[in-house]
Amino acid sequence: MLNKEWEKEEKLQRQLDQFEVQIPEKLATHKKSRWDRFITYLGSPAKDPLEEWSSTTTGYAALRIMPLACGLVLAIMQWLSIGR
Amino acid sequence: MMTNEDLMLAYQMGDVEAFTKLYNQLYKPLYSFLFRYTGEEQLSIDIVQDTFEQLQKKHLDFDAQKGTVKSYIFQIGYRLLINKLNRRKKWRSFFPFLVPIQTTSFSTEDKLAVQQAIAKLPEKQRGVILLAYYHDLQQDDIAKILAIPVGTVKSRLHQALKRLKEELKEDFHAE
Repeated sequence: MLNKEWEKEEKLQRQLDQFEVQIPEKLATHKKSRWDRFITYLGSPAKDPLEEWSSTTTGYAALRIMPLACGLVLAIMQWLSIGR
Repeated sequence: MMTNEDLMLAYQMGDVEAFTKLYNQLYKPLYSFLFRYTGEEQLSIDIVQDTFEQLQKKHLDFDAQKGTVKSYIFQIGYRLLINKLNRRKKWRSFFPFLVPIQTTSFSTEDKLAVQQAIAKLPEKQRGVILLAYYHDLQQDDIAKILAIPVGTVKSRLHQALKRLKEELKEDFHAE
């Protein structure tokens, strides 16, 4: 049944045949342990969570000012609590 | 050369060497399927290793009357793959920045139109077309591997073919 489907699709077959897969050599000999895989996962590059902020001038400025602003807010809160 | 079924039987009887031979006969087709499905080398390697690890644990569950060894191993591999992809999606939704950047092993220049077209197929259709074309599996086997009815295999194959032809329309005209 499936063969009949393919027989009608010569051009598509030619296209699909171009998709060849190279088998990695390490698969035949190397057997990675779960621990090795976990270390590879930890060591793999990850997305920068602040990328959107640091890529624009305004965002970058906001990132630099934010710790100062937070510090100020904390200081004011402390000052207010001492004043009571 | 011994068939996969003979090797599996020998392994079930306690011949450990048979497992190594079975691995040597089947790791390439399994890797090819996983790589064509995901486009990711490391993920495909990991799943191949996990599949055979699970086969070692579950080899006594295999029943030759229910299907071939190849389809049994592909079934384990496909389930592991889907679980891993689903888990990855969940992690990505909770912690988008903790998920490693996907390094697809197709280079942009070398990426063939057909690779792109297959990658664009919905996952459900992709599995069917890869198993049917590249691994020459029968509908029954494909249905078992993907855990779907035979009728669904037929309809998904039909849809996948239609979609692939649409995607590759320009390349067809260029020929």
